[in-house]
Amino acid sequence: MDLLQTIGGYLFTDIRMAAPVLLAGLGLLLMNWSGLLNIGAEGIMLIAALSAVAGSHYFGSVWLGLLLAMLAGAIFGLLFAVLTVTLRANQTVVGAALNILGLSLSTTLNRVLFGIETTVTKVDAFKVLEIPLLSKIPVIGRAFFAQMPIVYIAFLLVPVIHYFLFKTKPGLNLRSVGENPRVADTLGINVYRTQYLATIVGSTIVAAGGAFLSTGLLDFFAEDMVAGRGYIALAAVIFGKYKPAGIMVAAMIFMAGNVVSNVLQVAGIGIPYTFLTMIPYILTIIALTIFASRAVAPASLGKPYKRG
Amino acid sequence: MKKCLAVLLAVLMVFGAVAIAGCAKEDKPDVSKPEETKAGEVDGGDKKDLSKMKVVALLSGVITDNGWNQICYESVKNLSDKYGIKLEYNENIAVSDMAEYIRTYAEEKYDMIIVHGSQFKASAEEMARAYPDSHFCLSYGFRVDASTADQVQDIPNLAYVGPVNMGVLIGAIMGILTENNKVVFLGGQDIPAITDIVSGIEEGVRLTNKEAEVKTDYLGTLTDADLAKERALAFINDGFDVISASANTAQLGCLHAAEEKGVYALGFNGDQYGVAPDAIVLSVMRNYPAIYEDVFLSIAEGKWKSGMVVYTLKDKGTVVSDWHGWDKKLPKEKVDAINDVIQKLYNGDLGDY
Repeated sequence: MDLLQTIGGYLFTDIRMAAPVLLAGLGLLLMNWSGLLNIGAEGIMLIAALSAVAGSHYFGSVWLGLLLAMLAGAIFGLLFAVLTVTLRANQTVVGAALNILGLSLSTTLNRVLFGIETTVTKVDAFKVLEIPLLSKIPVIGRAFFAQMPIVYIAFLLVPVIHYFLFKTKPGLNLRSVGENPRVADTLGINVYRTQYLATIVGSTIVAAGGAFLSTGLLDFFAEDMVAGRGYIALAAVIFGKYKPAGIMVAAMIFMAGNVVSNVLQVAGIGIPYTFLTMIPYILTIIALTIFASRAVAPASLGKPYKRG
Repeated sequence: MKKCLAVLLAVLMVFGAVAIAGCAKEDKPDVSKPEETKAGEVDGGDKKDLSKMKVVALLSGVITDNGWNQICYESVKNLSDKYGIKLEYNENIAVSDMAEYIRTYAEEKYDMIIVHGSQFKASAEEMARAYPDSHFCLSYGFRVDASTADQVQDIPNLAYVGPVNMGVLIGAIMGILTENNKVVFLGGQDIPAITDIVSGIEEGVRLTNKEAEVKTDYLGTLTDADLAKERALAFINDGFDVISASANTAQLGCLHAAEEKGVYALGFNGDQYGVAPDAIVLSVMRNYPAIYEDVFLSIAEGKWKSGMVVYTLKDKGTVVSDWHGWDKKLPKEKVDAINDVIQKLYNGDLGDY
């Protein structure tokens, strides 16, 4: 029983840590299926993490913080769409620029809003929302049903986005734009509008992941706190073969690696910390070689489309 | 097409304006600094003269990292506030670029060039030899076992500056606080400014607690507060009931975890009571503001010392924060024991710390 409880605890941690990467991955997925390769998730998450704290601080509610973060994400998404869809700039370069912009803008705004202090401004943060009865299930109850609301949202989005992409007409339209925009265009689908919408909605979801880092797991903003999760999400999308459930599995495997390194360090068996830091990445590579056959990306991913 | 360009330009201008507003304001916010104790403070110096001294801090990271770089920023800010010198610093300098940064300021005949971090050792040594007219201060981490001394080179205008035995002080307090006899200290990475502290923890704990299990390890990150929090939670779940960390912004996650689980924590590098008021009993800080004020005055008065310029606990190279009411919350014998051991360490009663 004790062992089972411990495993339940690991699962709880795994799910909680996977949520932000999952959200970022799902947001990127929407963009990818519309044919846009956005590597700027890290930057979007950073500005969202700051906006969430700022919103929560000034409006006094963590939900309004989340809203502000999503708005900031939408603005970044719009910027990306203007540059890559309308002006047809190189998507990788613009994505890299978004990362730099997100890092520096969040750093600067953090200093302007909260000053240069050795303490941090603490704000209202998400609380655990226990689901009655279900959270009492032994072992997995707490892991699945005693999380923060945004974790439920993240995992509920998996079937929702899957249904949208693969079972609805707008989803089919979105995918056809990503596969072959010219054909989609001739069939009367507004390619540009589809890509704009996908980018803005996608960035909003990515931003929710960033907001969870600062107001879910913690209750403050620290510079560069996203610490590479935006890139992990990029990898998770490919690892997950451009399917929502695949991204979920990828995010959970990666974070399971972090749980393993936590356990190993506490156990104190003398493994150098540098090796522990590698575990999530090694685990992901192993999983990738064992389980993943070739991931098939949308055919027109990363290619700018010029009408007419 | 033109319309879109116009929109794009407008967006860029807005971002630009925000960034500029940020830069202009950057130096203004009030900074809490360890003020209580200033080693070697001199009053009534000729302030007009001193304000003409040119000082710059060259930093590896950002001034808001809640740690190593921030404390250096506070040091030059302190000089600027007190003596009216111009506040100058550069952030995010890569090791490969440091020599050029130093050269720029040395060419301008800066009196005091603070090169903040032992990773810049080679550049500082090379430039100090090339520019004998400037004084170079290399902020350094000194291990408790004095093994650092071998690395120091004898260059007349270069000083290796830093506190020593901080870890001993932290360990001594942790040894008193623990009830389960399990304490943990987590460093961010295996770098001199962190290993110097880690190296003293066990020795410190032993001063006050012979039995406690002492664990020191590294998180592998200086920025990922979420990861640090999960790591700290894993330790706390294993029964560790006193936690402290030195990992810039990532350490905030450890403090957060302590508060969530109701165990004791020690703040580090700044008075971090506000981060987790229900967990942080005390904060222990590198006293770089006082140290660099001391060095600054030594240059002004012609008493410059090169080589290893080490500030021991006795020299107040390390300071401890206010209790913030914890002296009422803790059992009296623990408060007394902590006060006592701090006093003894400062007096040198427990050995040469």
